Amino acid sequence: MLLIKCPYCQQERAEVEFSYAGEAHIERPSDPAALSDAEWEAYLFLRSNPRGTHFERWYHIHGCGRYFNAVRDTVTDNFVRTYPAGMPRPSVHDIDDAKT
Amino acid sequence: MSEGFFAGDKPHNPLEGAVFAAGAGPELQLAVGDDCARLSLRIAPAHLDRAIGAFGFDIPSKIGEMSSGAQRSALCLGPDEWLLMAPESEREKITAGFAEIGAQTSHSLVDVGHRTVAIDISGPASAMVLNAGCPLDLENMAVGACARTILDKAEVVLMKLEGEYYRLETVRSFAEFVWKFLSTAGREFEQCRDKTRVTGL
Ligand SMILES: [Zn+2]
Repeated sequence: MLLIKCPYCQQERAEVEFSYAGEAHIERPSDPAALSDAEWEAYLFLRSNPRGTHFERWYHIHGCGRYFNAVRDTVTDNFVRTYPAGMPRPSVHDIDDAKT
Repeated sequence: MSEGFFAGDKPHNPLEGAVFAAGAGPELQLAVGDDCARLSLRIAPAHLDRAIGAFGFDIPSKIGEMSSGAQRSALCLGPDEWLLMAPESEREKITAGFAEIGAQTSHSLVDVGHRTVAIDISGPASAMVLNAGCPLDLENMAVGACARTILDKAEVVLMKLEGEYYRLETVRSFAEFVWKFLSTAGREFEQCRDKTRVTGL
């Protein structure tokens, strides 16, 4: 059973309580009408899809009902750390710290 | 709302009269919980003290904690979400209390009593039977703690009232499923016990 630490509940809870919600830190453009088609396409559809460290959104749907962000390794499925939505993307240094 | 949808003000309980008779052993008791007033509160955590004033009872600020007394209980389910419970007769008093702070403190208070059904689970096998569908670490859950979680496919709110006594709340349309799920798990447990696979209980 994969456990995910919810940054709001401050508990490790089973994956079945959560739902995945796509890549994190994708900011909606403040003026979509000013964007070119290519820029709008990039916002809507283009994702980084990395092999390794991935920043992603998760939703504690059957728990506290909140969205938060997670750093997950897409190769090992290891959750390196989680943090509340709205916080900046953790630095490489933070991520290395969390791994050790 | 059309008249007669609810019989008087009493919500229809799909589990009314349900009895758990499997094995009738002392290890597991299932009982339909009493109806009560249930209110879902959303308010900024910074204004929790005003909510406590309106409710007239302590409201915990940490997710998973519960305050309970004879006339009131409050469960913290999310960063700004609480479930307030009280006897039916106290409902008006509570809603009036919150109406009073409404002008200064924006919040929402939604009566969710009619959508909810409670099941009491007790006995030495209660944690094992719940864990048939609920992933929470019940052994290490503190008495007096609560959580919104999942039981098989149904979302539930679970409270640990005593070491071997849990209360589960679920929405009315899931109630029959949840009851049957627990009954089935309970029967399975009885069979295991008969084969002495489960010992020391
Ligand atoms: Zn949570």
